[in-house]
Amino acid sequence: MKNTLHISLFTMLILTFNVSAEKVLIFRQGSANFEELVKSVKEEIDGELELVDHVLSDKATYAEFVQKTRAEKPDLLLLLDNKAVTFAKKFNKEADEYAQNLKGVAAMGLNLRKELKGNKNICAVEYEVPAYTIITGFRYMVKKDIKNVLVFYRKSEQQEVIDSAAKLLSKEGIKLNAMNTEEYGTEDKDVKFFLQRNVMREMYHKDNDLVWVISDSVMLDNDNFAEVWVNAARKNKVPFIAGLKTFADPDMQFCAYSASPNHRDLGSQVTEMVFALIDGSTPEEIGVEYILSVEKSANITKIKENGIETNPERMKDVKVSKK
Amino acid sequence: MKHPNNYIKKRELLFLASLFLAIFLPAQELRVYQTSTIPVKDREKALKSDPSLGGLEITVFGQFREFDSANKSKAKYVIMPSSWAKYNTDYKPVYQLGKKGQTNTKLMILTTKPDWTMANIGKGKVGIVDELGRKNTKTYVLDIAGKFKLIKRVTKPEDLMPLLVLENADYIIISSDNYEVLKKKFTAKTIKVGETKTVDHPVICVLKDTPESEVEKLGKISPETLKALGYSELKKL
Repeated sequence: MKNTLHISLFTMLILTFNVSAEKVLIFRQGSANFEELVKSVKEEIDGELELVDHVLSDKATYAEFVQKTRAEKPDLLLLLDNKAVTFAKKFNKEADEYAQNLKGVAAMGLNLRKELKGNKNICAVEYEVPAYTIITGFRYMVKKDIKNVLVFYRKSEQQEVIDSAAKLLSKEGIKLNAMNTEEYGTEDKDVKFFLQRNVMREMYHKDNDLVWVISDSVMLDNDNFAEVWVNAARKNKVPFIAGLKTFADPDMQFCAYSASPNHRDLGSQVTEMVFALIDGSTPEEIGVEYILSVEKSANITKIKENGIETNPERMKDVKVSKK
Repeated sequence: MKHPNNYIKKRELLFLASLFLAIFLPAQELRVYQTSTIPVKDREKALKSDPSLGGLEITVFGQFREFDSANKSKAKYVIMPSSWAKYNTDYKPVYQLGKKGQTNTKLMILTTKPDWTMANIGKGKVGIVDELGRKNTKTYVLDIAGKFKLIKRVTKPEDLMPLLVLENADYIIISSDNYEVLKKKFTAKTIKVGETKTVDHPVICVLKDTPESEVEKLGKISPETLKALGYSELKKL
């Protein structure tokens, strides 16, 4: 009788253990975009997994990350920015087996493809909207043939982005004319000098239909932004397009169009990865994906200044603004 | 003369009865979700201006997740992909949408790389528009197309082509109608490697205990409304 009772209790314990949901620990920043993504993840997960949400402040240290992870003992990490990714990579190098094998999904960090190259524990969704998405989105809504796209980039940071963009755009019959701004050197002043000499000149001299602006803190620093970029966009008929919504704000008189991350849908994309890992896929198999869903903004004032006609029937999912 | 207290009691009873009905009876709502490239606003406008649907609160959803979340309080009537009706047994399909004399179709299985064929789908990732939620999508894809290594759901048809071209997936499952629309936006070459089993077009469903008289009403949807939804015929089931 006593034995039967013990067996029953043991079985119940095993069952309880087996049916308990896997735990996902989220490390993120506190701003609105992060809130929106986490809300979306929570909706998608809908109680199937246990979620613990932890905001890392600007002053957060690795010790805080370790302490929280050790205390919660999650099955999986959701790493929402570069700081969380850096901490997780360091945690994977700790001495114990749990730390070494803890897997994660990363998003909302910059340059994740480069950051996670060769990493076996973390898969990710890139935050930068690919040129393919921005350019095909713009091409669809305008009555203008897009064959040649000009882009300025920094070879030391963005060579892979450029190679990948050129390959993908070629599938759409679009040629990418990429200019390395580090021709004179890799220091910020060299990049600035290159841009001052070449941005306007390239647009006058070459037969480009579009300029794709890469969101890069060195190329678009305070000095260059107004002097080089906005100035060129205002004086030229060639439209500028980007992956940042603010750049297509009519008050800025800069970009004609932007396609920026849709954080709600990014939450769905991230959750797919979380479940894929839970279901047995490895981060290596999943790799680093491109962000899929975007919010499109068209600056009609700028598009008209560029002398381009639009196709209103194809702009029903585009946020249109004008001055 | 009636006693004032009786009057107050009657009002309270009436209020409580209304509250009870509002909470426990299914709303007179029609909720619609299709994997369609036709803008939500256009479809909703057509449904709302159809006299045969007068008196119904109508909502068209652009994403399955939004529908699923709203339909936790079950709408009395829904227009949904036929697959959804199989997994949601609280509802019964009463009308079948059709076009060109057909009530069903086969979905295309596309790739961009010749290496990916139907012989090695077990090693590949496939993308499909979400119309069932995570768990049911797995069984559904297995049923209509076979076992892929990984299934990637997207929220709208427009995301399928980038999913494939950006190589987030090796295959996509897409209707020929949606593909025709996407071809105007993306010109990247695709290869058709196969087809799914036959899949019925969307269905109009009602909650199971709905009286027949109310079901009949739904059969009067106008041809203009059907056209706005991307169909031309309605068949009683």
